[in-house]
Amino acid sequence: MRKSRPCLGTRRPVEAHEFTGGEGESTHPKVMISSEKLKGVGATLSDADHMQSQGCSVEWMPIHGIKPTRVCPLQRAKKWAQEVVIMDQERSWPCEWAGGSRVHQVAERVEALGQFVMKTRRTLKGHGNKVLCMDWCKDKRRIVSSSQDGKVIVWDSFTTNKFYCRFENLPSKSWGEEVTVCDTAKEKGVQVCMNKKVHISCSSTLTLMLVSLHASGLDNKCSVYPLTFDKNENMAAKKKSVAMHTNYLSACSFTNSDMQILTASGDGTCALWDVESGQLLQSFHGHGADVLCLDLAPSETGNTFVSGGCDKKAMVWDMRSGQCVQAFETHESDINSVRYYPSGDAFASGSDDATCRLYDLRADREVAIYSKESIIFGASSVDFSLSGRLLFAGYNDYTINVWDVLKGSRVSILFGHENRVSTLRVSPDGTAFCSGSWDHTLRVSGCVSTIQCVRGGGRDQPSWQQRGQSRLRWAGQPGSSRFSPVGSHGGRELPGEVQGASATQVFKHRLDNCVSAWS
Amino acid sequence: MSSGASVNTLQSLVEQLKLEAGVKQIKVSQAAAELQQYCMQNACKDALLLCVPAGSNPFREPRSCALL
Repeated sequence: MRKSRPCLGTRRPVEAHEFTGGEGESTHPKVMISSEKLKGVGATLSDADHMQSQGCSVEWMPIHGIKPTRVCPLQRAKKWAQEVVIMDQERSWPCEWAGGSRVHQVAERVEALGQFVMKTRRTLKGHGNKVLCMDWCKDKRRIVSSSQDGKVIVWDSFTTNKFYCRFENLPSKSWGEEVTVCDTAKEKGVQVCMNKKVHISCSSTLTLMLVSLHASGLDNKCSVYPLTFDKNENMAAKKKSVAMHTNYLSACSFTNSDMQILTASGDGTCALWDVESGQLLQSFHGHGADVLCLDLAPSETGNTFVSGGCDKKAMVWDMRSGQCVQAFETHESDINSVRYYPSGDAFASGSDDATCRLYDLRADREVAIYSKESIIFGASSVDFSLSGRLLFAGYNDYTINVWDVLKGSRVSILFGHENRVSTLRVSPDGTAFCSGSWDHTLRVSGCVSTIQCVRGGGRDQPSWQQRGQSRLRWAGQPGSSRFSPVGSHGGRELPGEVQGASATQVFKHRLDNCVSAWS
Repeated sequence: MSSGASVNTLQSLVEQLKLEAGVKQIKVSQAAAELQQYCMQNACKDALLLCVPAGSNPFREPRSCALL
């Protein structure tokens, strides 16, 4: 029996052979040849033939300790599964650092961000019940949100104006009465008694997707509505009922092309649907429990997505083949939210075990954990900032924590919500993020300057300025825009052009060769 | 128990595990370095990182300014 060697370099699965043999040899079991003349283990057929031709009697006997050739297929499969699991464990063994490889170790030399101050810039009030879901429109300005009171509101995040969405003559009784789209200045929206959750996803053409969420017959449908601000238009007339599952729908998303929808359901599967025809294009089986969240890979040509579920697993799927490409099972509880890193090479997940974790797809393992002893409530939603340096996570303890992805430390905590944060998205242009909560409000928040503007310096004069926690030093040259800001670590001067960012400072060169810097 | 169903389940599990085991891995140090590089490259575009107020020109003179 060939032993399985730990082979970190190769990945071929080890096949359980009941019998050994060289390449090209017959698959007869190795035997002892009992004969007067030749006793030995490891004889081959040719030996036996030779012996027989010599007139010796050859008796085929199984070697002691070797199991009989007929192995129950179930046993064989179990053995293979065990061996692959062992191989996988060996693969996960830290092969680079003692104690495991983590992003923080690699990012040790990266300048720390320092403490941020996050501030709520807009509070969007208007929902009558828990806000359950929201999404930014692709115009980077409008937000669509849904709440348990049945209203779907489109907000303008700059002016906080709101529009209610209108659905008329909805076929299923569970949708309740009509909701009217209106300009709030003129009319008041009609309330809807809807006790179903509506999930929002905005496509680039402002199409709205609504999903009703409780497991009762017709309600597990996903419908696509075109979002329009024309009061006379009846949106429900253009409604398309697209997806249907056998259990509640937990998440949905338009694909890159907007012609397809991806849904995740409580029945443990995800599915890809065509919007036009309503046809099921592909289904994804593999989760052992309800799938709670999904996110599509950001690249234009991407055809993978990641899903997280109650089975604590995050699985990456190939949309075309329906195969699970990678699976990660390090969380200790349900995964509530998954989000791809902006480059598409990694994804983060937030879970009820009060941690957020970063998984790298090419290293095929978890590479960072974002947790603190003081955080004991689950994370309900996560999102990255534009550069991927910051991870925003909304928790069930009413706070939003901002993590430094590379360092693994928390850089900010945002209070303000009076109930658990249920949904959180960063705007498409990365200037702000919006969080929706069970306290009926949404808050659009951003970062606030902590250090006041510093202005000074002169020609050719390096000067040190100290403001708050950060020291800036620059040297100006007449007639040029070359100066060298240096960060707070007090390192040496870096020659070169204007540095737009050292992650905490923004610099502006003025014609009088003074430098203004603020952060 | 050697019922057909559980053999099939296990076999499909094994197939799946083999598929996953066949995924080509790169070293974590390299993956982390690339993540870091992406962060650094895009840091200047990240308004939330730079604490730039939304919807305004980042190079606008800020309201409070200390002249030294």
